[in-house]
Amino acid sequence: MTLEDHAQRILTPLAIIALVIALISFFGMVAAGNVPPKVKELPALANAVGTLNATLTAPIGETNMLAVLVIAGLLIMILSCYMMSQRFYRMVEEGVAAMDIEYDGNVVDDEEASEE
Amino acid sequence: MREIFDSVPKLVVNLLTAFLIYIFGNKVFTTISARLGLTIAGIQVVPLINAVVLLSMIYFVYKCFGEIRDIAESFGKLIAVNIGGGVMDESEVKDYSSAMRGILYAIALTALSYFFMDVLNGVHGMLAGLAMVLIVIMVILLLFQSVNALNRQFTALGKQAADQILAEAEKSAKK
Repeated sequence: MTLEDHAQRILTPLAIIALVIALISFFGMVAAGNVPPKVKELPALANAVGTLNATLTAPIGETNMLAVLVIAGLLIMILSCYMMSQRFYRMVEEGVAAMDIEYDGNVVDDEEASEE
Repeated sequence: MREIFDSVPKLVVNLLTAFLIYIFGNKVFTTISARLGLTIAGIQVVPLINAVVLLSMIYFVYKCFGEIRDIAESFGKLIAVNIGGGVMDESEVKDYSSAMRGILYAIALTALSYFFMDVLNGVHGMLAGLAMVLIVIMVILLLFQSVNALNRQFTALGKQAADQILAEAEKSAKK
């Protein structure tokens, strides 16, 4: 596998993490009602944001929709981190296997010592 | 040497992954949940997030300790080879590896306790205090073990040097 393949495989989970963080931050912002004033000036956009806000904050029993999204986002982020580390592991192992390292010390075990 | 080239990048990746989870878990997910007072089936989401973050951090830190053990053993062999002039024996390798392992584990535990305290505090205040006491005891035991191992080797080196000086003194006295 080339370095480009490795980089691609490592960067994909990183992109997923960035996307999850951006989405959760956006949902959090909408649910908290921190919408930029310019959005409120556009009726269609303000309506869409209002609907999203209502969906995210609507209680289902004692559960918030946003709480479920936050937990799901957290699990996806941790899974992506795990995938990234595993792929990096593979890259390191392949790199080290291709290296030509010579051991520069003599190991003297008991059998050799007694023979001498 | 190969082990060091293999373990150091893995250690860095595991530490960075644990740090990434800590930063995003604590600064993004916990902040949003706390500010909006989110609940799932009546349970607060903040301690739940902290527990999940804590478990995943424990997994990555556990993997880190495996790599630290490998690095310590490699360094132990390198030190034994350098001190023994290219020759090493099993007891030297064992003692130097044990000393390096203890020192590296103590440094890692001290550094990681900073991150864990924050997360543990989020789950339950008592857990953080309990973990702190355990970490202090573990660090003391690890350093004690390292000093013991180094002490054994330095005593042996001192004895070897003293024997050599005595032998030379005897030789010069015979002349």
